[in-house]
Amino acid sequence: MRNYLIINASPRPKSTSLLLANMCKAYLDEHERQATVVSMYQGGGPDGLIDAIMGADVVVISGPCYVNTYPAAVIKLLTEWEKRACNGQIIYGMIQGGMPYSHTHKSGLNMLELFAAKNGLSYKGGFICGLGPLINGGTIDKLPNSKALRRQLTVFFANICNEAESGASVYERARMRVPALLARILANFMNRSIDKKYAARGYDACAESPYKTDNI
Amino acid sequence: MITIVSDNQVAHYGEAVREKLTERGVEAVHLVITEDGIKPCYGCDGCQTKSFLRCVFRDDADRILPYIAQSDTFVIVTPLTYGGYSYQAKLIVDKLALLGDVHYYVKDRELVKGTGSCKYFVIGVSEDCGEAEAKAFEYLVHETHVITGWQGKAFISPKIYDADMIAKEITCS
Repeated sequence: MRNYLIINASPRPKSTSLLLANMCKAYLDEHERQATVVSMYQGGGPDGLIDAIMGADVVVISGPCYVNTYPAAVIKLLTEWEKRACNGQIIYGMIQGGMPYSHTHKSGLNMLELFAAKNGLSYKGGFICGLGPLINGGTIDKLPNSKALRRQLTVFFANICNEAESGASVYERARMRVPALLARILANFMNRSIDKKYAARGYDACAESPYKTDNI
Repeated sequence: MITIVSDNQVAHYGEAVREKLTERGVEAVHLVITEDGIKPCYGCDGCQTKSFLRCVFRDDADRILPYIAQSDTFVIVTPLTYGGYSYQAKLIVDKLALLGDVHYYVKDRELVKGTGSCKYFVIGVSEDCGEAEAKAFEYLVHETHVITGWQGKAFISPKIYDADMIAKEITCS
C-alpha cells in the first residue's frame, strides 16, 4: 500500500493548515489509502520528520503563508530533506493565507516545484486557499466561498489520491472574487475590528512600531 | 540610513555591497544573522495581545529589527534557495510584519497592508540559478512589494549583478 504523509506546517496547535491537512487525510482514508498527518513543530521540529518522509511515497505540505511564502521552518525542512537525498517521492502543497488572492501566496508552491525539480521529486501541484485565518482552524463552511472551496478541495484531494497532476485551475475555481468596492468595505470592516481589538488592550493601533524608537 | 541584513553563509556579499554604498557616500550598516540566532515566528499572536507589535520572544531579532525599522531602505542578502530565501533569512523576513501598519488598504483594486514608504531590496546569491528559479525569486519579491507598498527590486548576484551595480541601483532608486 502506498504511504501518504501529510505535513502540517503551521506552528499553531489549532489552525486552518491543520484543518486542510485533516480534510485531506479523511478523503484518503475514505478511499482506503494509508495516510498520516504529522506536525512539523512536534517531536523536535523539521529534523525529526525526515525519517517519516523517507518512508512516504507521497508527501503533502499544508502550511500558512508568511510574507508571500511558507514559513522559515518549511525551508529548513526542505534543506534537511535535500541533505538526506530524496528518493523520488511525489509532492503536493497546500498553502493558506489571509489575502483572498492566489497570486499573494503562489510563491510557496513555486518553492516546492523548484525544490522537487532540483532533487528528482515529482511535484504534481498545489492548492491555494485565501481567507484562511478567518476561520482559524474551525470549519470552511464559515467562509463566503465555502461551497466552491469544498468542491474544489475534493477535486484536489482526488488528484492526490490518484497521484495525478493538479493544475492551478483547481484552486482558481474556488477563489472568492473580491471586486474593488467589496475590498474597500472589507478593509473598513477589518480596520474597525483591529482598532477595537487593540483598544481593548490599551493599545493605539495607529501608533508606530516600538522598534522605531529602540536604541541602535 | 540603509540596513543590510545577511544570512551568515553569504555575509561577504552583504559586506561588499555595504562597502560600495559607503564609497558612494551613503550611510550603510551591515548586520549578519547569527546561526540559529532568531527563533521562528510561532504565530502565537503575542505581538498583538501581550506586547504591542513586539515579538514576545527574545532573540537576535531584537538587535536587527530596530535597525530595519529606523532605515529608509533595507536589504536582505540570502543564498537563493528554491527561488526564495534561505532558512536564516526567512526567519527575519517572517517577522517583518511586526514593523508595519496593522491596517488594510485598497490599492489597484486589491486589499493590501500599509507598511509605509520603505524601500526593500533582496539579493539572492547564486552563481548558477536557472531561468525558472530567477523568475520565481523576482515574483516572490514583487509580491512582497505589492502587499506592503514598499518599493525596490530583487537582484541575483553574482550571476547577474555585482556589488557595484547593486549599490548603484539602490542609491539611484
